[in-house]
Amino acid sequence: MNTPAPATPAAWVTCPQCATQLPCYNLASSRYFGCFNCRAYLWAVPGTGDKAQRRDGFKTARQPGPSLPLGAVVELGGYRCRLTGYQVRGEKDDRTAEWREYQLTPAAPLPGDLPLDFPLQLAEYQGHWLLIRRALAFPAKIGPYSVQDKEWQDETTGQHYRMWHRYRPIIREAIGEFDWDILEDEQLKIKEYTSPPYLLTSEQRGQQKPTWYLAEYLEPAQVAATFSLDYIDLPERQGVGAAQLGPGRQWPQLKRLTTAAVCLLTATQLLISWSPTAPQVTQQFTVVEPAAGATTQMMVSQAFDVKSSTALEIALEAPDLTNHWVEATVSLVNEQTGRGYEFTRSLEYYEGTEDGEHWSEGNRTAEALLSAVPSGRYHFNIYPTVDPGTSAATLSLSATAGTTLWSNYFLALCGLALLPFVVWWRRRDFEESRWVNSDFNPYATAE
Amino acid sequence: MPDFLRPYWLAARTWPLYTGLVLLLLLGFGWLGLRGTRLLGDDNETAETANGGAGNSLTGRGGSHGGHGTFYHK
Repeated sequence: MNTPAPATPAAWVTCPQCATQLPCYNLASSRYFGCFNCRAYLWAVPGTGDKAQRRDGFKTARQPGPSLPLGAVVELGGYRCRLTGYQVRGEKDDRTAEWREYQLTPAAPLPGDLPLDFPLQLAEYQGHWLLIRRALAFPAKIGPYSVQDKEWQDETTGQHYRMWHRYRPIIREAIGEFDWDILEDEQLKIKEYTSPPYLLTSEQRGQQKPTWYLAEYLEPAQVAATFSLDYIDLPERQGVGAAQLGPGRQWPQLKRLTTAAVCLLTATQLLISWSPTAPQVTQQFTVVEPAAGATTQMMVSQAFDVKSSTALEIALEAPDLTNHWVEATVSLVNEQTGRGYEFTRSLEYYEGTEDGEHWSEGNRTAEALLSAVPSGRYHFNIYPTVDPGTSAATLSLSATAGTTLWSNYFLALCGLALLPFVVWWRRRDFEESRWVNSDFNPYATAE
Repeated sequence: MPDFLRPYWLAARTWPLYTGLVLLLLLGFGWLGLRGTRLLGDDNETAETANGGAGNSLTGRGGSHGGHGTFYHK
């Protein structure tokens, strides 16, 4: 059970500037203190009776102040810890950036040396929370990438890290107790690499070997529950956090599944289209103007058999059509059931020479597709009409069964891609929003 | 289960609804392909019943040939 109520401090430190009594929970290690009353920054050895020394001071209280109660004891990061210090930090090169860090120390002395996870910290920026601990292993040169590059992969975890930010910190406020001189952190050069839900940070002082920290994203609700607070008491979350997990976390699995489905679909399409097409009938007709008194004329093709349900592709061609038109209504008739399929096509072709240049328009061919024609014996009835006053035209009709239906394939492909596309788009939108806050935005377009 | 299929099985378990829809889609696609059914448009302009019952010409030059496509046996 968490105990948000502060326990009795091990000692008190008197602020030399305003005489406020400051609690000290870690008698053995705390040496630096921030006065919550006058904002003075002190050095002291608590419990010895020696006077505290003022080292510096922060001018005014930063708003909104700590969102978490100092002194609270909670279970966090696998430890029972006490929240002992609070800092507001910013960047030397960016006066607008500001975040808050909460120092966590073991609530009770731990046997042996302090675990490597410590110092343990909570950081909050724009309502996004990170639990920061010392990285047990830090990346060296791995594979083709090194940490000097802007992106690389952790060989152990497989996490793909990308450079997120590079800055020098400044301390704008400090309250509570600290076991190191936090003002010295202003000499640090900090690099951050993101791989949600993690943010790996290197802190380098001068030319010394960098120290690595691994931060893990915490949902605000988790933080609120840990400290027994209401969610609305915490800063409102804005934008997307550097290490916030995005939607579509199972994207690799979806990608794999979609790839397999597309392969299966393509294989099915190839199998279907592999069955040879079968020309059913090819016949030529001569189309003339109807006899006087007649309104229409009809021509009948040879009968043919369709062995099984199929798509029938019909091609019409008028090879000698020039500067006039032929229109034909074609009716496919099942001789057993009487069922009919009908379509109409116009063929027109014009050509000439104008200003010494040859031109042409129209087409001497036309095609139609009759879908799912059942097996049976069929013939075509053709009802042609020609341009009045023109000579006879030759009309050729050919029908082929078993035509490959590529439109079905592309339609099915779109159906398969719908969900992956939505997930991909949501992920991309989320990532674009995340990287807006970074100087290393891979989505930024050159202006 | 062969090792190469294991990632796909895991992926299918992660996305069970999508997997079900994909299987339905593949089956439907195969069945329609074998029947020769085109989903995006059929040039057939009649609206007859399967038994050759009365139907109307939907489009085309119906004015001049109205309904003739039905029962012209040889």
